[in-house]
Amino acid sequence: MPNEDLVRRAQAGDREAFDALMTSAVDRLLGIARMILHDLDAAEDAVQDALVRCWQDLPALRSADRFDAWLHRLLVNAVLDESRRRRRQSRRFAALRWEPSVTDVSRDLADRDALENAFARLSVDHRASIVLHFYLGMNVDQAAAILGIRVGTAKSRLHYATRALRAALEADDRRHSAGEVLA
Amino acid sequence: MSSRPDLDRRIADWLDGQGVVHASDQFLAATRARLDVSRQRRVFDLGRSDVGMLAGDGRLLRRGRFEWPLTPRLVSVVLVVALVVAAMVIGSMSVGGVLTQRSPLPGARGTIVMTVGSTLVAVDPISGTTRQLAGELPQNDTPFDHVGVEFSPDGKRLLVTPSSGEGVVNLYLANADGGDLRALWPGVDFIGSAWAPDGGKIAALPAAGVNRGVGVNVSGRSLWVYDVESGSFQRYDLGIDIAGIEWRPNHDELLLFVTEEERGAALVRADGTDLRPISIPDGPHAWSADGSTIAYGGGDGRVHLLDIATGADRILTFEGSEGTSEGPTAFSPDGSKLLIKRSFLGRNVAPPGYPYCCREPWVEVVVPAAGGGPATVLGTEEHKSIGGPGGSGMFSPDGKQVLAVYTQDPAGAWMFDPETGKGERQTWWSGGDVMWLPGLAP
Repeated sequence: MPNEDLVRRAQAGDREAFDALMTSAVDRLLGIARMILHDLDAAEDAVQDALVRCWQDLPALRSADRFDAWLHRLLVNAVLDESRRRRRQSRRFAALRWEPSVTDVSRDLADRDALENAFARLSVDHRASIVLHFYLGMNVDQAAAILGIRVGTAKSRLHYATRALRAALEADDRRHSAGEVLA
Repeated sequence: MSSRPDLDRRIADWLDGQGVVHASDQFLAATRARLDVSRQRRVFDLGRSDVGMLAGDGRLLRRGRFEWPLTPRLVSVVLVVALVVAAMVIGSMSVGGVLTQRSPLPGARGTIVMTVGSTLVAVDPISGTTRQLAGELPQNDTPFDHVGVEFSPDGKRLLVTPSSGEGVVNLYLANADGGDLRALWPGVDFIGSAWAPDGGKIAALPAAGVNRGVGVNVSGRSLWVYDVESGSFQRYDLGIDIAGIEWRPNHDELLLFVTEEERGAALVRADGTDLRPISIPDGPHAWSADGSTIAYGGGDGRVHLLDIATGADRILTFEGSEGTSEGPTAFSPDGSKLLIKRSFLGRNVAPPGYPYCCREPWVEVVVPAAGGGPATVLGTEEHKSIGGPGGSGMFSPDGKQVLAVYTQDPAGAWMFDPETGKGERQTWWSGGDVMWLPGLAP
């Protein structure tokens, strides 16, 4: 949680306070943006846009305790803007594999491969739904509010995307079970 | 085989690993450089009213914070300047000058309703005067205050849909002024609702299989239709998972968006019979006023006009639609024009005063419903460069104006003449959603 005092100081134009807020949040924002956009360069552009917008509009934020939620909303909007901007290039990125993340070595490799492949096949909108729900712990209503879509559409996207990821894991489980039987 | 909670935990664990990214020093330095050249927007708070708060650059905002020191000296200077300006205006009138009504444009009809926080504000489109409607909307405990509001088409009643979390809503019915608020079905969660075109019925989709821990797999399989006058309702089992619902204009029929197929849609009579698929995507679309035709975008500069009765799919292009994505959002009331959100694919612009980034713009365009041209782009050159309004524009009930709300400078609600594309910022707008109703019951 950001220090609410820092938020208030930043609202009053204190750049150092904003810098402290940015420093504490930037890794998390980059992680979210990279997950959705599937590309670190695009994620950096989106995070920069979100942070600049955050700085510009911060005085209008009603209550400091909503800073986190508001920043996530700005980030997701920036990510979707960036995605639209790079729509043509993204078709090429979709064929690329993800860079391994720092903690990948400790993850189950089978899960990772199955989920990476399934996740890469999802649209940006579906990936955003998954990240907001499973990574940021938002319910469908909150995700709909952030994505600016109808609750029904948010549910549909999350349902579809979750089903795709679950199916990938189940298929992987079946392959493992078959392998154990054969062994 | 793993259980669903176990599968979901594995998905969440994998995402936790993917989310670990460390910003490079180079990235941080570049971000700070951009921040250094960007200007923080100053915001005034001129009072406790939710209506009419001014931003430092003149924009109207819903709520603001007093930030600039309004010293007595500064206040006195502002008052003197205001008096001088007033004297000049009165002077011009006395020698034959005419004060023009700046906004909104003449000819508008009906009533505009704006949600401001938990209150409703009615706006006279002719005079721009506002009045707060009685009653407070029910609130929820989510951090987003997501309370939906939908007036009956006859302007007599109000359906209020506060979220109860987990992606479902509760339904409250009230008089048009927000009074006599009551829960329609206490304790029942819904995933969607729609007014019948005559305001006599409400269709609702009760949520089935709500997973309280996860919040996914929320869908409805039955259709409830409430009769407003009698207070009775009928339930129909549809046998398919549905995520969205709207009423077909001028018909006793509903359009459903189907969960399972993601992009699937279906029509069903309001008595639950004659369920049949319809080939439109779950995206921007517009019904003709008589409900005979639905327009939807193909994402390729073309718009499809689907005749519901015959299934004939007519494809249109418009002046300037090459290389765009056309998203129809409304027919004019007489059916002669279409309001379209036009996105310029892959065409990036650098908006004035926005030196560090480019963006793909979109604009609101009014085109002939028969295709071709002329295509009238709404707004100023600034509007054309910032990326369009935050939501869809809407025609006035008489079709003579289009209202659109922009969230970036020049931010605010703007009313346009669809013939010329020229418009003015509306001084009454103080944030929130807007609806334009043919009328509002007293």
